[in-house]
Amino acid sequence: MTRTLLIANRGEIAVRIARTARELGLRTIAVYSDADATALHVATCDDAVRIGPPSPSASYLNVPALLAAAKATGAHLIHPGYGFLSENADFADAVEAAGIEWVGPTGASMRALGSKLGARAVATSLGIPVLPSARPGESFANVGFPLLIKASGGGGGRGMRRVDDASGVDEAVEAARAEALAAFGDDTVYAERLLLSPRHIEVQVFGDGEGGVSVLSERDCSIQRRHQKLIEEAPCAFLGDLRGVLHERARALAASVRYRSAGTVEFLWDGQEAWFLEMNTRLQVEHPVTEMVLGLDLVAAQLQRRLPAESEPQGHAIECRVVAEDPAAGFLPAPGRLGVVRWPRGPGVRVDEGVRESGGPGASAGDVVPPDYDALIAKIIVHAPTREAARQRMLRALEDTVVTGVPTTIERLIDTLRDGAFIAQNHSTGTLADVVAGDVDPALVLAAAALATASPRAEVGGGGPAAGPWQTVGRWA
Amino acid sequence: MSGWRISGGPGAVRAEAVVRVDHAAGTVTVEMGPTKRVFGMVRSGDGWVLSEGTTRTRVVAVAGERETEVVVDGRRRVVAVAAPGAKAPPPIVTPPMPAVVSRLLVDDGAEVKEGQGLVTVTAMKMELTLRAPRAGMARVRVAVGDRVMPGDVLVDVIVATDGSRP
Repeated sequence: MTRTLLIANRGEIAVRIARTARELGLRTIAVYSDADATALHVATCDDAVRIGPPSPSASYLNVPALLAAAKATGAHLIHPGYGFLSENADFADAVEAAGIEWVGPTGASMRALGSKLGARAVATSLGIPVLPSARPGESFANVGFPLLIKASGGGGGRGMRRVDDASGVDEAVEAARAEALAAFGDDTVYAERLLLSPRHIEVQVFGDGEGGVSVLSERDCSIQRRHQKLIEEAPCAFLGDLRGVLHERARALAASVRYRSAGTVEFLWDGQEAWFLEMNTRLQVEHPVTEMVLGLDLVAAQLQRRLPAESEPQGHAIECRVVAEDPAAGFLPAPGRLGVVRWPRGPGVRVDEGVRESGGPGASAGDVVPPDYDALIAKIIVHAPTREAARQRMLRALEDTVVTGVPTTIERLIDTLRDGAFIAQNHSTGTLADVVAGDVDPALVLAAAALATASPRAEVGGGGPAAGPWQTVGRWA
Repeated sequence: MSGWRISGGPGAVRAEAVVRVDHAAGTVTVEMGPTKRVFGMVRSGDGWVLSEGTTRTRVVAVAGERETEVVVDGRRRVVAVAAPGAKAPPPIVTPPMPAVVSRLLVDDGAEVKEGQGLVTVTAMKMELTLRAPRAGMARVRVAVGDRVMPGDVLVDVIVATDGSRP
């Protein structure tokens, strides 16, 4: 009997999960809000169910609508992707209570590890170092300033506020609470010491649910803006002996809750100690770099509940996130309709995309990046024998990428890959702010702009009545 | 000479140039001051290949109503005719992106200081506080839950010029 998988997500991760599921012979069901009726993830699946209006709380966070969609389509499994309900233990329990297999950890281990405060307690009990912290109302003396107000239920960099002195605490707590409640349905926040330029190191784990844990290498995700990752890579040879230490800490944490499926244990490394940060009880955005260096498919392992064997990474992989946002305006999200979209190709280049390439004449209008959700539109992943070869391959791939209609992170990614600190692997979570912006020859820009506006009638029609051999492009306002 | 505004990069720049396209010869000529550059051009997929000497560059350009987008080696620029003598628009309280009003931080009619938070908006799960561009009296034009666009004035900050309340 063909088994049916409902993918409770959207965008690139829904497309990526559907690709593997179809290879495994599963029937795939997409869900969509009214903002996504014609989205790529809907077109990629075998069937699709509308779950509500654009607002996340009415659609991708709408538990009754998702359970009804699963029931109506006879789903045997639900994969939550990342974000939305992926770390919601109550949803996981409700899915399993409905007789549907939850592709992820049990609700119980999510409760133990999925909240940041809960995970800190587990880590402390295992002797894993954690950063000093305090709850609102407690003394912040041992935390010190600057500090971060963080949402216990948060993830993806949301629900976090930097506070430099005591006077800013109340406003930050309130803002973080509001953001956390809207995004995660839980307004518990706490304060944690802020390391100013640490490296973000994380270990991929996979559990069989019975105490067996495979440690699947590690990733460096230090290039970030707004506490959200922009470039990730694997492995982290520069860690030396610390690599093995972090692997064993991650293994101990996962084994302590008999962890099932894929998860990530995150650390902040200040050059001496690697402090436990949190555990993400789900598939990560950046999981492809691990897949590339280990030659495995984490989504297939999740869907088949098959524990991948541990192995040494081969070569080096880098992922860059193409996000519809404006680096010149502080990386503000820039939703809108896309124009020309072309993804890179070639050996060792993988694209996990959430929007279509643009078509030729007669094709439908470009895909839309809605204002309601995360603005990630694609991940470009490269694999090469060495880090330097991977860096060069990524530069080539990004230069071959075309996105018009909205500003994106592409140019800032190129500039970062060319940054001296990144090349020397001395970078930190603060590096992105210091990257020197590159530029482009204005004469080339003006020449190209003139070509787009000086009508090509002479070219295609052999010379229309108004098309002389010379066109002076005065203005095209 | 025509003035062009090129934005989308590290900062907007103004360029004075005359640009001519010669479809018959397959060239584009860009004159910037005393410098004249001639690019060979060949259509290629979504865009063109521009050649200058032995250097070839792939470009994509898309003309819009008011401006044209250009992508060169992954770098996107927006080209528009520079309006001579145009003044900067007056500072208004408007969201930088499509958003939803999440909280009002001041009451209608309240006196506000420059830089004071007036309203918060949420977009893509991010909360952003819009602040008063100047001191004055706040006239709140929106309610919590309204969907708002860039250009929409959410709060007017009215400056009393004669000392009395407007």
